Amino acid sequence: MMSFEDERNGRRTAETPEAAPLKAEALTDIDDDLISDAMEKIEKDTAKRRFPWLAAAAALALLIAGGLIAAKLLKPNGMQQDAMAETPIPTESAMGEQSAPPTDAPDLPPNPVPSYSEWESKLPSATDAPYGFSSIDELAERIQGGDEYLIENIDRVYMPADLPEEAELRWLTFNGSCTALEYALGESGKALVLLFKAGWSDFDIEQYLNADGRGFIERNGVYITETNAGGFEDGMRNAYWTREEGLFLLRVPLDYTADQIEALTELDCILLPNAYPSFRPDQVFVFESEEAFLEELRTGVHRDDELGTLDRYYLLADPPEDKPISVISVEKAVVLIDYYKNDVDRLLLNWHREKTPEDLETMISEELGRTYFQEPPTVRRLADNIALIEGYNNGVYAFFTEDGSVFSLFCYGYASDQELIRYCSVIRCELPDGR
Amino acid sequence: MDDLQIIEMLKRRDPDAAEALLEKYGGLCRSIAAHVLRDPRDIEETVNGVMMRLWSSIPPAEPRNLKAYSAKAARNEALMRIRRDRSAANAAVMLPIEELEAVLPAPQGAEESAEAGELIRALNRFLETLGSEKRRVFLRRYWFFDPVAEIAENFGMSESKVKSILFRTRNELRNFLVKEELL
Repeated sequence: MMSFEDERNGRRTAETPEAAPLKAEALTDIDDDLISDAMEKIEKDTAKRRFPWLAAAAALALLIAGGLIAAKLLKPNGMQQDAMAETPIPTESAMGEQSAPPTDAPDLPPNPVPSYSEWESKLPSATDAPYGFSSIDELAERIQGGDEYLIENIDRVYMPADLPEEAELRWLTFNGSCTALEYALGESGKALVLLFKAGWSDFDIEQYLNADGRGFIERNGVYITETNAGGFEDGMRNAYWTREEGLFLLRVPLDYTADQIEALTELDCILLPNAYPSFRPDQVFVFESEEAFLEELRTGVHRDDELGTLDRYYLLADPPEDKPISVISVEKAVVLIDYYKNDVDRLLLNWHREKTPEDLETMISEELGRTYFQEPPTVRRLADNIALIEGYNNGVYAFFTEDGSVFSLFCYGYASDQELIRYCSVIRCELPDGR
Repeated sequence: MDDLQIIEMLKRRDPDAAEALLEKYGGLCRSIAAHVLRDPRDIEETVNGVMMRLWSSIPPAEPRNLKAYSAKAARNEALMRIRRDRSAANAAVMLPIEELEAVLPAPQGAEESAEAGELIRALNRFLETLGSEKRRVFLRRYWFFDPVAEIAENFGMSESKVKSILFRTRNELRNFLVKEELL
């Protein structure tokens, strides 16, 4: 049977010149059953709409579920309730004009969010929570120590980029896919809390706001409540927003203005030790300088046979002057050299010991198949031996070949093409005779 | 009248077949065309064009699913019309069309029909990997060009959830096509 695609192509040939086909046309010839299925769904739902009580019952169930989710997610332990109660409620003018709710919520009975104390009693404290930490370093150390649950489930932490000067991290908890950081605000007894829920969406914001049932404003995609959700008198206000990676919830004292809150929604991302390129801690040998690395090899007392298999290593041929080597890590497949270890200003050179230039395309494909936070990355050839993967949320990943080997270079932040060409070149260092 | 009867009438070249087609699937074709085209006259011309195409293509074609076949004809006819004249497009359809531009490879010419067939097969495979709700939402938007608000209403979702599903599915499709070396 002639498909529409065939027919279209035939027609284009016969009737040229004609405007180029639309890419959307490519979908036309998908399987009939899929089209029928999509049509039937609508027909069935149209029938359902004849019974509005059914929709109302569904909406109520959704709202109850939303309330329960909100209760589960929000973790206000550590809040100074008494102090918060004294903070003034800002005026409407301070908050700006109130927006309409994003959905037409039906009139519903009071939401089922539990009371503050009921809620708090069920939450682990910061100190005894299985995944409670007093600092990000402590969390990183737990990961380096081989905590499999953390290694599998968290590889980065988000924090406000521009915290108030007096803000000090009091605790960090991780539970499932939810990360929460609480910052004490000086001696005031007040606090900021930032929660990140991976994979949650705008839809979930709506559930929160519906469960809240109170006023809110919307500023550039940030929904800010006038008072705390669920009727809790803890003197806090919530702000919700989403990015591709998930939902963020910021809890702030009520006296924070919308402008202050909006400024706090700019976030920094701190990569944890298991963030890509990832190594299991027990498989990695870490040296804090090139000298320490060579010294260990010279002594001949190796912590692992793996080190004994090294016959050479590679350094960047022309590294940035302000980025000396800070760490050399050796594992079975990769030797990684970290130039200037800082989470935002750093180059990571990987020598993929077991790969050959023929593996380059496969390696890039595999990299593209990973899950990313932002728009899917794109590949660009920078030179015959250099391919760039662009579109990471925190840098550029370059793959290149030299000396019959394959290297990758992760460059945090911005780097021009000229800089990348300069960095994507290595010098070969033979290991000393007799080690 | 059921589809088999209509197809039999078409095969016999029974003049009443066109009327039966119009009665049964004219509304569906008009609805699809109306999501794509702006001018009611263009919409009517599209529906007439679809009926003509069905008349001329059956036989030899013998679609096992006349409803889907008619819908495809309507979509194709309407898109070809805006391909020839962008100003004919319903303004609302340009957004989903542009969104698809970013995730689909350029259409293949007749000389590359094998590649075009490969793309269709890949699209089918991709759609089959999706959950049914996600797939239906995706198709309602990008195949039928339903407005987001309409999809939200029909599926009992918020508009933001529909947009979120569409955004993620587009990204998944792009990744899938990259893996399949079609993009």
